[in-house]
Amino acid sequence: MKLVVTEIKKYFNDQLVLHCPSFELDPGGALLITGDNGSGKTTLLRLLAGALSADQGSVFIEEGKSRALYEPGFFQFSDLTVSEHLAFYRGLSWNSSVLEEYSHLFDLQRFYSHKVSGLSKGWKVRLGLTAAFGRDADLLLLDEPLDGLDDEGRQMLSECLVRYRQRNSSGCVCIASHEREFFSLLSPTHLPLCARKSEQVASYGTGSS
Amino acid sequence: MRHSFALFKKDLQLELRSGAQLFPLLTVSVLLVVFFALGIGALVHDQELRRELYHPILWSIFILTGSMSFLRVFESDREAKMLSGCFVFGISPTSFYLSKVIFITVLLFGNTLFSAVLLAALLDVSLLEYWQSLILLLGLVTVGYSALGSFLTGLILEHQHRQILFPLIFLPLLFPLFFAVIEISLVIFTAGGLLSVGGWLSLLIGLATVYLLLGVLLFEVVTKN
Repeated sequence: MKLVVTEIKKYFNDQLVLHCPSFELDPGGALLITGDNGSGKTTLLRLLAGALSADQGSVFIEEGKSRALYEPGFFQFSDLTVSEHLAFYRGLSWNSSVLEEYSHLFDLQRFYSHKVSGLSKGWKVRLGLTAAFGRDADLLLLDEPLDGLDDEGRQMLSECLVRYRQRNSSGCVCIASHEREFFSLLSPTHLPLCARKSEQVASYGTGSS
Repeated sequence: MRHSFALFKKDLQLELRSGAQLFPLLTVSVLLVVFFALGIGALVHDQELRRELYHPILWSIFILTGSMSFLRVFESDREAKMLSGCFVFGISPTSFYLSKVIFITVLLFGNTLFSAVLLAALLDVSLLEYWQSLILLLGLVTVGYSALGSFLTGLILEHQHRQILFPLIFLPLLFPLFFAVIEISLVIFTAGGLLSVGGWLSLLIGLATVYLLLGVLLFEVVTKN
């Protein structure tokens, strides 16, 4: 799956919230988006996910390619249990076996009968990540996936990223995070965003840059 | 339809667990029915006049309590960013829309049926001869009402002033539906049977169909972004 972005701008209430330079991601590529608070990382991920459209520029993804997005609280209902969430995702055409596989990787079965409102932040993150990985999409978008995860959760996340790579070698992963070292296992292209939009960086480099 | 069913099932599970939609709706409906019944009971002693007043009161309660429901029913989905999620995960927003129409129709149908019986009991109006026609009419009007309300709620769901905007947009659009349903229920109670209603019934069926088609065809377009 190939992702092509031509310099995009997004405004909310006439205020520029994102100015992102053009970039391309080849099949199997990974992108790490970094930047200060308010630099537009979440907005960029939502644009790539198709939840928003750009005011200027464009996002091109091949026809028929699927997308999945992790954001805190995304597709989560406080009064449903973990197992009801998994059944809900299956009802919406998530692949049962893939969903099952990631729910085990994140050790969710311990909390199947628990309502989401009773889960800690870290376990809500695990459920959200299970939904995103379990979609088995061609473009996987993760917004601050480490936020709230303990060491065990981080280990599980890196295992899931490796598993995703093995399962979907041409799939692309885009991650917004402040922790560059953790994601070095993906050898991602690095895209730094700047909170001061007029001084937006005009280029991007590799993970080590 | 499979996705609509999964989304409806989720709404039903949430409702059975918390009762967050039905209990407030039922409470407000009972209070309104009691207020109206006490007021009418104190002022109107003519049984025929009570029978005639029954219809506008019932449908006014239906519209007032129903209009409270839409934003509440959509709230958990707004928090879970369901509409954005539909676009991300390739789920048709129309499926989401249909699931809401079904859920709100079931919710309002049950609530209004209860209110109709309670109001009839308090005003001493007999429904025995007309209950079949009343149920048919209630089903028809609830579908049209839910279809329009769900469409408009989706339209303004992310708007900062949605609580104020919703009744301002929704209620004026209900006038044709309101007049049609009052006329039909009056005729049902006097002449008996839905078939004797004629033009008003055609108008009601037409409105329900147009509202539903409007939602099915345009919900995805208007909720994009």
